[in-house]
Amino acid sequence: MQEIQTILEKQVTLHKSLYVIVKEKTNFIIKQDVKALTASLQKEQSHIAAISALETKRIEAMEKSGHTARSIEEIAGSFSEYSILIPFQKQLIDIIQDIKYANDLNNQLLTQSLQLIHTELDLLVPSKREDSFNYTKTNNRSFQSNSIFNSKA
Amino acid sequence: MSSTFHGLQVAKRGMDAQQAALYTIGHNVSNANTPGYTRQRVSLETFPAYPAPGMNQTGTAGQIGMGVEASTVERIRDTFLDTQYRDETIKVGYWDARAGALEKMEEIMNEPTEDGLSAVFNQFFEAIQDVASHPSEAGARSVMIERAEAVGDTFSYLSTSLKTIQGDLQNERDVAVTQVNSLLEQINNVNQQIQNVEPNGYLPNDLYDERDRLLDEISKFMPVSLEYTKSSGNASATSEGVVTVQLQTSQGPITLLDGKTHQINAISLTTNQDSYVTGIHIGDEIRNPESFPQGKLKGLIEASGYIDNSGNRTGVYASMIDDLDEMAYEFVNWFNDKHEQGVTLDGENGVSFFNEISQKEGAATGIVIADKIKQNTNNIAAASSASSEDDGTGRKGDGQNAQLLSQFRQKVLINSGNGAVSLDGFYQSVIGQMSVDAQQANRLKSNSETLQGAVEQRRQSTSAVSLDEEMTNMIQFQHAYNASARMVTMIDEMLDKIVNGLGTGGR
Repeated sequence: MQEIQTILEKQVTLHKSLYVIVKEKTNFIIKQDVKALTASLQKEQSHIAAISALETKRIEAMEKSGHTARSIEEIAGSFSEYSILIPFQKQLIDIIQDIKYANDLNNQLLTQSLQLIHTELDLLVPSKREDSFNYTKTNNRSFQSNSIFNSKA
Repeated sequence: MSSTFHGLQVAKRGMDAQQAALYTIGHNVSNANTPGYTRQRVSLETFPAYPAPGMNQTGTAGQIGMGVEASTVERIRDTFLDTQYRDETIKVGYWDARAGALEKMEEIMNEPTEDGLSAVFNQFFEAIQDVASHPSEAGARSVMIERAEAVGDTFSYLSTSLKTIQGDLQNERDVAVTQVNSLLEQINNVNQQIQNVEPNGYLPNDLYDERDRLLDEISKFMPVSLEYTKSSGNASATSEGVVTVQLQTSQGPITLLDGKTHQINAISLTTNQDSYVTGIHIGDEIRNPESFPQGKLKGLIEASGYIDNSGNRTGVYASMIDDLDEMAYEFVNWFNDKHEQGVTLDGENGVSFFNEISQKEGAATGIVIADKIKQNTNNIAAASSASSEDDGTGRKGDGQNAQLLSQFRQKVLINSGNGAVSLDGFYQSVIGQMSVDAQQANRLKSNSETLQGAVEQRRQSTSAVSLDEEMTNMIQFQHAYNASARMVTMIDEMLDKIVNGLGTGGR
């Protein structure tokens, strides 16, 4: 019981600091600061590793207490002493949802940037013609040069 | 053989071209803070060389350069970023309108606080309990009447406040329609001006900027697709032409402004007597509000209420007003029914506690306590008719019917989407839905604002005037101008040699 509570507390703290990192990433993406973005990606990775380690520990602790594969609400329903865990669970759900939403935004921002990059690259690099179903003589040489600038010119 | 004065002409062209570049820089710098301004650049080209090839060409060693010319003045702008920006602006418009409407609604409903409807219900509920435990006390009975009045007042206050805001939103919606039509008018004007300039081979950059700014604005209201038609005549290859603005709908595009014929299909709304939108007219086409594409206009229509495909009133405010009416109707009828089954303190059969409400619409504003109850607190039917506790002087000790009445929060059943629920449950789900909607609207509003901001930043980094860059360009062109001027001096000295020094060599 006590053990599960400590683990949940730690998970809440970790998720909170993960949320800060995810928020930071939004700023870096907007500022197009790749260096800082890579740095926060590393920080994020270490957080995720720590969180999944805690999760394994939590499952172990649940197994020890004999309540495997049951939700906290369910356990609290039958054992009232577990009801102190519910606030932690709610907090955790809230933070995870915040993180999810912030990640959605980051995702959209990245998609937007990539759209621009792709359109601009398409203008510079002629795309390969692969839309014909007929047999045509393959001219390998024409596919070799895929660089932005034609160095022969 | 080129002319003696050839060099003068080349130097003059050089000075002219650099001057044009310098003036464009001046234009950029002075418009650094103009909204919608795009920085411009002079593209310099060499002047066709001398001599032109032909049968009668002169026998010179090769073509001699004839200097420079400023061919065009262009805007530096990325159209793809415009498309991205406008896509986000549509979302900002929609979610901003929705979030604004829901925020005002949350302020009115004021839950959970001591002034909200559920708190007033709580107090009424407690007052009835008091009557149930002390049925003979006139004080408890008059408190109950006062609390019942408070319930009626709160219902009526909420309903009228919601209707006021709904009216404001309906005005805002009508203003938005006017704004869209005025924007179309303005774009049409700019289109015509552009069409007058382009055939002469010029690029009306400042007009392009103005048109793009107007298009940015119109995309706040609804998604539009643009089609450009080149001007005829001697139009420059980089000219944009006139724009045709089309509204994107799920049933295909509708032309709002035809660039070629300059015809505008203005938007107008048809509404019913309560000012709910029933249809949207665009020229000859009619769209129903439900299928109208996203944007600020749709957001305002949804907030202020419209008639959906199946003919029902819907909308953020409409459904809240209807929900309140429903609650008031069910509550009053249940309460009256139970009250009538009771017996008063004087042993008479109970009457209606509230005035009868016969229809749901407007029920929330019609909760009035019956005169008979107000006149005499004894007329509250706290006693049960089933009880035999009549001591001849009335039913002083009987509070059974009041006990039953106090259960109204669990016993009043309201039909909602998922079966009949209690008054409490219904109100909770209504308030819950409102706050979930508001939260979602706020989140998506701030998301789309962030996305719009990011594109805007990117767009500014391409198109905005950078004073540093203009400064270096200024130095560059000024030097070139000076050098061309120096050429004139040099040619002047050459000519001096011809005029004053030629043929005197042998003296």
